[in-house]
Amino acid sequence: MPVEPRIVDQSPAPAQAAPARHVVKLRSADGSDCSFGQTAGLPLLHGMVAAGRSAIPVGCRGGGCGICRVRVLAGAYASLPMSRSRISAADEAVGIVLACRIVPQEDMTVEAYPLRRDGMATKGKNAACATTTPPDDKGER
Amino acid sequence: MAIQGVLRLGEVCVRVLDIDSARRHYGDYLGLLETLREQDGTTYYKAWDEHDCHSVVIRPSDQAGIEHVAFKVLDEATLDELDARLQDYGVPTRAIAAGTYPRSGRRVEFTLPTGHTCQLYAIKEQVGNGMSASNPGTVPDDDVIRGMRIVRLDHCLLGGPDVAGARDLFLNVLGFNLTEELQDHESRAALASFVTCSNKPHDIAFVMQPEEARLHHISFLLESVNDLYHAADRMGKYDIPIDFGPNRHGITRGATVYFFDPSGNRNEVFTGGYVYYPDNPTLIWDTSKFGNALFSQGNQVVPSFLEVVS
Repeated sequence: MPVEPRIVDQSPAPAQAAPARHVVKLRSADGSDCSFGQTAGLPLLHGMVAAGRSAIPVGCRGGGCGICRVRVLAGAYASLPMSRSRISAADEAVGIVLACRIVPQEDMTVEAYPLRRDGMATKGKNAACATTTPPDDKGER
Repeated sequence: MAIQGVLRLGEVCVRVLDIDSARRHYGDYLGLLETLREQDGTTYYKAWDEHDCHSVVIRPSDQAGIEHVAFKVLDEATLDELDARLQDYGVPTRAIAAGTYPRSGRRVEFTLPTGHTCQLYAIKEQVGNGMSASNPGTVPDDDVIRGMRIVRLDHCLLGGPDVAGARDLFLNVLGFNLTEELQDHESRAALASFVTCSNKPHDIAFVMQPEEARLHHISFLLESVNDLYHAADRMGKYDIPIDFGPNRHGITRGATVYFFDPSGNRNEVFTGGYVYYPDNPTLIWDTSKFGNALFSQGNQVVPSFLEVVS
């Protein structure tokens, strides 16, 4: 008869409260939803990676490449500098930001909002005529 | 004297979103040696075994990416000759007076078919590599080789739609040779072209990207695979985001780690490869062996490596 594993928790009681965690709800580009606990003080993308999620593509993690572009639907956040070639001032004013450059201050809801990027990943097919345009901004997707 | 004309990629100017974190990255973590700092924050670095006073420039900006690349040419006569050849080829050039760029002679500037700003220059002040030119010994003083132990700036990979146009300009006008090319296996379109002006597998390369004037990476030479692993250890220690590696490229046969500066500009540390001569055959890879061409230990196609540029 197999022995049932016994779960033993010998970890000491925390000396102080664990860092506050905000709940982030995330809709990926393919429309699937997930949520995770975000450690306070981390950029949203870093929190997603730490939680073992992959709903948003991870690129440079420094605000330069734009691959983690999202739209904030709810929740307050602090911003770090992000490249103006990926996020215009007008984008930023309406909550279109890079997930690697925003630090949630409370529970948040965001959706992936990618730039269209057809580079070598498409093995060159149509790459020369690809354009970089945001998805249609009108209506709910 | 066999290497004439264009000598090497002598300078890259990278735009950074935050100068303090960029200085920490390029100065403290990479271990480049700071040689000059300007009022606006622009900071100049050299790698230890370079003799010219700087090869890497970081400039504060609201956009990441590459501001310009610059090649050092043999002498002033070569600069005039290449200027004329560019104009004959139909490429407008702009004259930049000596001293416009610090410690630099005059420059000839033009725009590449991929949208990047490129410059040529013959003169830049030399400060040496920390060892005398007379009975130099073999190693400089302590704290000259530091950080990731980078020997010199090696090459860069630039992204844009017109890879073939950029390749042809370097081959037909600037006297480079085509060492390797990655082609679409159906259309045979050039997806990435690697060109050299020296014995290196590449001094600059171009990769297909839908947008013009993108930076894929700037690359730094290391002495050994041991140093490559040491560099990767430092990336872990200092939480520097790694894109991919350590691994070895099929193309160029160089051992590599790709990582990002704090503004999202990709860097590479690189060692190995082969010695190129102008009578070598051009090596052609295609997308039927895409993974083998890119990262030959595992033969992986890494999406972020293809899609992420600044």
